[in-house]
Amino acid sequence: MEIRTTYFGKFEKNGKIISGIWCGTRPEDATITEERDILFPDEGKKLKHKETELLFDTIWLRDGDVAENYEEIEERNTPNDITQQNLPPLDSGQ
Amino acid sequence: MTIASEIQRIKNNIAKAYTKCSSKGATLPVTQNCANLESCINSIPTGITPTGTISITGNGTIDVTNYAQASVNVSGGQSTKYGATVDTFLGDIDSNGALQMPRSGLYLTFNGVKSIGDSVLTYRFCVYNSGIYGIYNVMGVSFPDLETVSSYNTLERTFYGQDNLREALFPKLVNVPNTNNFREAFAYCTDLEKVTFSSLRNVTGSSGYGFYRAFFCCSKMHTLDLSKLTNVGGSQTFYDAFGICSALKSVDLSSLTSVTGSSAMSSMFERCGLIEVNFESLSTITGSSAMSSMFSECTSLENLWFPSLTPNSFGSYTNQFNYMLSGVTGCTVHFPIKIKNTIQNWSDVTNGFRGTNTVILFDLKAATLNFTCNPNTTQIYVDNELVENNTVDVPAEDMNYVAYDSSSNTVLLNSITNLSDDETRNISVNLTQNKKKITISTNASGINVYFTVDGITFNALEESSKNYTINYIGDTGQNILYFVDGGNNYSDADGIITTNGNNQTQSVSLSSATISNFSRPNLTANGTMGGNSFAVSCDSAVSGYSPYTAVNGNTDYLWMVNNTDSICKYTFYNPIPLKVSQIVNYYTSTTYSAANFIIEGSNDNQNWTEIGTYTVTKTLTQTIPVNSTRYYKYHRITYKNSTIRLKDLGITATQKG
Repeated sequence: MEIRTTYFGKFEKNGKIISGIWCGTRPEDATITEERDILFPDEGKKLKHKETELLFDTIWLRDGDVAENYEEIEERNTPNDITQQNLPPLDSGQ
Repeated sequence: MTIASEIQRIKNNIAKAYTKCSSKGATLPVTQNCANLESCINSIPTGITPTGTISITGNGTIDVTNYAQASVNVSGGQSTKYGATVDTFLGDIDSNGALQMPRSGLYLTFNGVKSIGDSVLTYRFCVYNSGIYGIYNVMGVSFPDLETVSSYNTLERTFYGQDNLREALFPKLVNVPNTNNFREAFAYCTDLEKVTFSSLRNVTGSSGYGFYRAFFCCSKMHTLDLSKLTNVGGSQTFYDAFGICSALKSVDLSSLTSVTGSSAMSSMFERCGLIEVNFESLSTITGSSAMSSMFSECTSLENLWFPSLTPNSFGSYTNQFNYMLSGVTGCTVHFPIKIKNTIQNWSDVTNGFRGTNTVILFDLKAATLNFTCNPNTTQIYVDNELVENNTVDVPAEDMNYVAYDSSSNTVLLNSITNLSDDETRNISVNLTQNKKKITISTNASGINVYFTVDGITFNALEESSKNYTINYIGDTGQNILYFVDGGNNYSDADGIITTNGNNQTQSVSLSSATISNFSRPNLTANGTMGGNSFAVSCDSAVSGYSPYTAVNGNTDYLWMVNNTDSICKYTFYNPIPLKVSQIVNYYTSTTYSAANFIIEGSNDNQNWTEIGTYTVTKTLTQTIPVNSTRYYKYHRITYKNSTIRLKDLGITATQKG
């Protein structure tokens, strides 16, 4: 798992104010109004709260919540890995 | 050889030449000698068509030089339809009697086919373990007249794996009523380059799967016409429809207006070569995970635009986008500024739609306002929010702004009109101009009175004993709400003053009141809302699971509701107004609990004021600090989950009366 920061802010472009959200990288030319630390599991995994055992895709770490409160577990569904060279057998015919 | 024999040989050859000339229609001379041979040949007429019959019994190159009107008579006979013959799929026999593989180069044109019924073409040209095994000879397919397909499976896996197929054309097809109709119809057609659904508007029907993996792994497809596609509904309707179409660089979805099905467009363009997509008309996305993973691993994707979304576009769901950009790096997603407050806290958004370094800009249909204020300590509010540094980006539409100066106890309400996209407008605000005094006259001193102007609430000044005022600048006919907080000794009061261009005074008489702790009674029935005793109600409940069972003091019973729109409303009423400090939800299961809910208050069961929005962990017991600041007779809890099973509702409150 890893913590990534999401930045909320504004910047000016040609005299116009634009609001934005930057996920992962702090923008150089924007005024940042808020930062959020978000805990992501590794690919194909979910986060499980150690105490409640509830599952999450991601967690916004706030109000004293920390990464140590969570553990990673394997996700049930696996990504689609079908390729042209790996044609699946059809499951039925007519 | 003698001289005589040579003369005879020459005579014989001359005679043969005249015989052949005769067969060619020449006029023979009386004296047929070598001297007249030239004129005889010249008399042969030109332009005569040779005729004759030849029997052709097999395929091959046939010499018909002398049979220009040869009639073909193939043994066994074969008719052609849609550009195909029996040999096309069963193969012919050669001159040695050996069965040949079917011919290649077949282009199927289904002229005249206007409709296709349920399952009519299911698996028909599928090259794997059903349909026609191993015959890859379909080079193209066109349905030039097809207008409708039936409800089920019409072309399911019909051309699955035809990897010589180059194009698939459906130029007149308008409606596809879902349920597997094109499910994997052209999946693994690895040479397919061009696909046209140039009239297709609606792929709907609640069952879904209409284009499920329809063109999956068509890795050479570079042209796709979905330019009229307007409505998509049903579950997984376009799931992985164009997955691994890696040559697909662009797609026109400018007509797409509504996506309503669960996962309707999930993974639709997974691993495509798309660079940017403009959802120019898309104004409704109400399906759960409707666009999840839609562009997953589209590594060339740079920009997405959603200019037509509004705060009302999303229904009760907040996970429409979900993993939309999984495996995508550096994509910028452009939204209208108007939906910023609606979506900016969705986890999908703050997670960057699960892409890497996603940038989300609220730069569409936006304008910028620059305020200059007199006095310069004036606070400006737009869309219920304080404007920082007197500059704000706003939707390019008509709106109000509120200006407030605490030192002069003055509020100004004004409107902004004709804002255009990308405009920057400078606005001068003057609170030193003529103003009108709005006064609440009561029988109590030292209490708090509040005015609310266009959603912004200000504390009134007790300008003289028991008279609470605010100075107003603005148009007539504006409604200013007031709330009189009687404190610990007086009743509360609220109401509306409509501005009329004059100084205005509203008299409010408060009665004595005492505050006590509220003890929730246990009900044996729902009771009567607005009646003389505590009562409860709800928007809906499963039969036998009435709302009073959550407040009957017996946790063996429960209030149960199933709502597919994930909004379950529960209201409790007390004839003496309550100020709620805490509620406790006791559920039967975390599955049937809510992580998000809203609590509102009302004194007439019609006009509701939000007390708070709460996001908590799903647990069997949820203790929620409400900390309401006002007394209400009615409190409404909106639980956001499709199923709620509540076996008890704890209420901690004081009552004033």
